[in-house]
Amino acid sequence: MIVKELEVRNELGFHARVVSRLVREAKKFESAVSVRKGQDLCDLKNIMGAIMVNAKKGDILTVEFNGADEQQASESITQLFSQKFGER
Amino acid sequence: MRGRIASQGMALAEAYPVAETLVEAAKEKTADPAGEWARFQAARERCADQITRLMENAEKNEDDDIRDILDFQYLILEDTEFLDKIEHMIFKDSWNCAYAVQTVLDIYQKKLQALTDNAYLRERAADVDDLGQRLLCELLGVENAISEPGGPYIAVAADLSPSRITEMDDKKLVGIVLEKGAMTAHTVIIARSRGIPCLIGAEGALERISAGTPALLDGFAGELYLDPDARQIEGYEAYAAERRAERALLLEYRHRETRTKDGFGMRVYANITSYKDVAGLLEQGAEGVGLFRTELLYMESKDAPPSEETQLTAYRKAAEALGGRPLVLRTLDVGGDKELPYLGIPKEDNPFLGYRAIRYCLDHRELFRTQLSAILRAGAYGNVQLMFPMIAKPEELALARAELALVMADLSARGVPYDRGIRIGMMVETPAAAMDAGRFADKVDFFSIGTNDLTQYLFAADRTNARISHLNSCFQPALLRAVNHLAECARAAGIEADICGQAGEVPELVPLWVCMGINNLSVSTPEITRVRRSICEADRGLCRRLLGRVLESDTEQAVRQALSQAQEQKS
Repeated sequence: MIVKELEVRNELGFHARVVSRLVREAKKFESAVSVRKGQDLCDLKNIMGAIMVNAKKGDILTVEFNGADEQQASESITQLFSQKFGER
Repeated sequence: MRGRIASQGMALAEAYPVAETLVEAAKEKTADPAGEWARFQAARERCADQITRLMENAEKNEDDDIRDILDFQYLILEDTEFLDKIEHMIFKDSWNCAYAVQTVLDIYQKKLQALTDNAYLRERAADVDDLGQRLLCELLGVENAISEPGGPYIAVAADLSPSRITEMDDKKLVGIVLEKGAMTAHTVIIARSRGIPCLIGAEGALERISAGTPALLDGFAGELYLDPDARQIEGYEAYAAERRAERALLLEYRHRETRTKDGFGMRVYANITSYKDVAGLLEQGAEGVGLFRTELLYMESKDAPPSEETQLTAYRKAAEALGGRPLVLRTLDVGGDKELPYLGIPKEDNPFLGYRAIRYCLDHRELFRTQLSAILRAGAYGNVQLMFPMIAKPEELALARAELALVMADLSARGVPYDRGIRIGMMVETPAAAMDAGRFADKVDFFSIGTNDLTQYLFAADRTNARISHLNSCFQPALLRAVNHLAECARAAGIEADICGQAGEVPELVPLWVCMGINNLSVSTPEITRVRRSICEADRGLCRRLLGRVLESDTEQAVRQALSQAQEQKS
């Protein structure tokens, strides 16, 4: 399992378009991709799970990647975060 | 069948009943879970196909907002947690699949509504509701997507929701008859701005109409005739022919300069409710938008005010489509008879004299700032101006401007681009503002005279009350003197005075506005060319005597007499 601390850097934080992009990206991989939120794990491959992360600009998320292609998955999701999901 | 006239005009077409289908699932157990599951899967696939098609359309039309909503709905259909929950409810608890869908999506809606700190995500609750309706319609075999008739039609409905009317093809929709409805309801405002005749309060209409019944909507007499007879059809044909001839004559005024005979330049603007109206008004040759009613944007969202980004997108699209032409955005005018349930404004005995527009916004600073920020930012994309509604005393204007300054400082600090030199105007609707116009004129860049409200407040006559409609006339000398006073005060202070109420498009009155020195008239899109022609045919020198006579009149009748005599002399 790979665990990454990723910062939400886009101005508006999580909104519908960002969440959809994340889910579509996560679904490309076999590995489980999820965000730890206190006791809970939010599944980033599921739209409602991803929405419940409800992150704001500046939040640091603990993202877990678990599975055969976890390396590729973590790289691609990390990139999406660092590119601010293609937004400002 | 009678109704109240909400938008004038006539239409002859087949009547088409539009049921506002709110589908509900029965709370029943099933003996055949496997069959229910298969039914659910089939419906899910059909919905996914429909949404994919709609998404392709949205992409073609570059409608990003709609595309995002559909994408979100599509992902729910693929959500494994969603599927697990449905499966559980069907196989473990033996619920029928429709009830399972409804229950699970209800929970999702509640979860989203609970995200009180994130308006972007909270707004998605309405999209979950929409998806639920789509799935339930598939499961229960109810028609969902509007299956419009092939040709023109008159929509007959109990009421039409904002989303419903935007789905209708505006090339086919030629008339609207509502059993309920209010004069200032969303649907009515859209109908008026598009020139679609509309009757409201036509009780029992749905019961008496079946799809395809030929109908004649007379939006001058307030009648809907089913199976119209030859004489009625003849009346309509005469009206339609006259309109066609008139339209042909007016064509040349689409792209003419708006200038009086004696060379005084004015502009004809359009009143709009959505950026989608811009293409139409440009085609008619409008020189800008004199009133963007932003409250419609608020009415379109069900559970919460539209986010700053949603508003920015709507304003920016309008500004960009207009090129450098002016776009005057009026800040939220809510209250009165325009209700927004999610704002929780309590019912009042006297809503027109109550908690509305700027009065509400100044008490709800977050909501107000969000809108001001979106307006200022949209200014980076075009010629955006803003105005405050229902100003009655200078303190309100000062407070509103202070809020604006705060938002500007915040945007500057964050390095967000916006228009620093935005033109700021005020609506003149209250008698207090009209009387004290001289004191307001040095505090704004322009007046925009809302003659509908100004009339009802001057005469203390509710404009939705048919019994006293004689008081709500824009031919009343007291109103005309008030407008003249406003124009004089504006001129003395070197600012512009515009009219954005219905009086601006009354043909007989246009020469008076011209002569008073009104700068711009903002009218409904179908009237643009006619108003421009009236301006081009007017001569300020020649009108001066007429204006003098009108301003000396004691009664409405005397005003009308003066106007018709001037008309006779001209022809």
